[in-house]
Amino acid sequence: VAGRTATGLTMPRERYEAAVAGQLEVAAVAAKALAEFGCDAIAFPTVPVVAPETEVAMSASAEEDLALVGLLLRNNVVGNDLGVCAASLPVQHLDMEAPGALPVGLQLMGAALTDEVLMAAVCAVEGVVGQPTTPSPSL
Amino acid sequence: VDARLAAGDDLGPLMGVPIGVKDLCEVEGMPLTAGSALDADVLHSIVGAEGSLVSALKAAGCVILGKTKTTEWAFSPTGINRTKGTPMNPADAAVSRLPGGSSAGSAVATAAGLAAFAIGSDTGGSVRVPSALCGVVGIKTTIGLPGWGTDGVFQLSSTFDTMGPLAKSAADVALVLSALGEPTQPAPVPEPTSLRIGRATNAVLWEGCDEHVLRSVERALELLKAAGATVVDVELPCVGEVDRAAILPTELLDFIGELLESFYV
Repeated sequence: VAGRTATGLTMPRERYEAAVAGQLEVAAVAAKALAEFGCDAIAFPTVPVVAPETEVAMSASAEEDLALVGLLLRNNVVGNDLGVCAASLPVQHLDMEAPGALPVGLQLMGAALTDEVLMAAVCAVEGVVGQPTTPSPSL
Repeated sequence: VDARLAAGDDLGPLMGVPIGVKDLCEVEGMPLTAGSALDADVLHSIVGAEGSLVSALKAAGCVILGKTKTTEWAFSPTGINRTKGTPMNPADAAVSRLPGGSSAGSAVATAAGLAAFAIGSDTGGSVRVPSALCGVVGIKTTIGLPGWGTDGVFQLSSTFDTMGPLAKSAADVALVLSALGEPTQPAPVPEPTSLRIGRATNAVLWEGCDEHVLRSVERALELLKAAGATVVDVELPCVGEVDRAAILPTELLDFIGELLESFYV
């Protein structure tokens, strides 16, 4: 965390300001595209992998840690960059080859400020795909 | 709560619901760490008073059981926190697995049934990553959605920070969303046959996915088609085009800079 924060110390103000302006342009392009698609939600995997083992992740090198951070963020930053709303719905119970396997999220993304309409669509999707059985940790 | 309800003081659907709030939010009477070793009083001096979202949760009758763990300054999606401890993912009782983050504790508390729902924040996936890895439903709200402001919350990025609820079901998330915003009734749930879902075709979103992830997601889309929904291919624009590496550390330092300066005043 400290290392990634420290990169801000040498960040040119011009690059920062260009980045903020660029994000606004991206959000405007995305709003137009989503309106043309006319979808209730855009679907893709929330995270490409299942939860890594804590011991393995804690003892990873700095490079491996950065790679994991990148992998976990990859599909999610899209929603932030495009300035929209986005939900994740558990769908791991749908894998017929691995019943009871680890959680998987289906990302469902909606246009900016349509949050309640998106959640209504997510409810409809949940109605179709069903909910996973509650994990019962043997505590 | 029971006495108020008996007296006819009905605060609505969230009345008496036990919840967790990410430890990035100021909650009056509770310490604030933002997942860091920084002094709570110093953090309070910069984050300010309890924000509108937490106040609205209280006004709606929610019972805030406590703060949920976050990655340090919410600046990592793994859930690892070497300063304050890394919560265990309740999805696997045999092997300790990462909960994802940064709203790690909010997803864990919800998945383990310790809270009916929990509040998280999301700058690059911090609601959705732990939701996915722990198996709960979560939404990153649009910035500016009424009722979901980031005042009284430790700032990672003024460009991207946004709040969102995590719960066991989509219906619960929809309820929380509508109860705290406007309108106060959830939007009507569409029939599956009227659903139009876009399958994002951007290759980068599907690269390196576990087989289990691919099978689960593809099966969901098959089931939607079978239920009469329309599923179309769409290519999302501008994926990967925002220079996030310039925005996040700069805005965090702008915020932390004030914080660190306050040590020496």
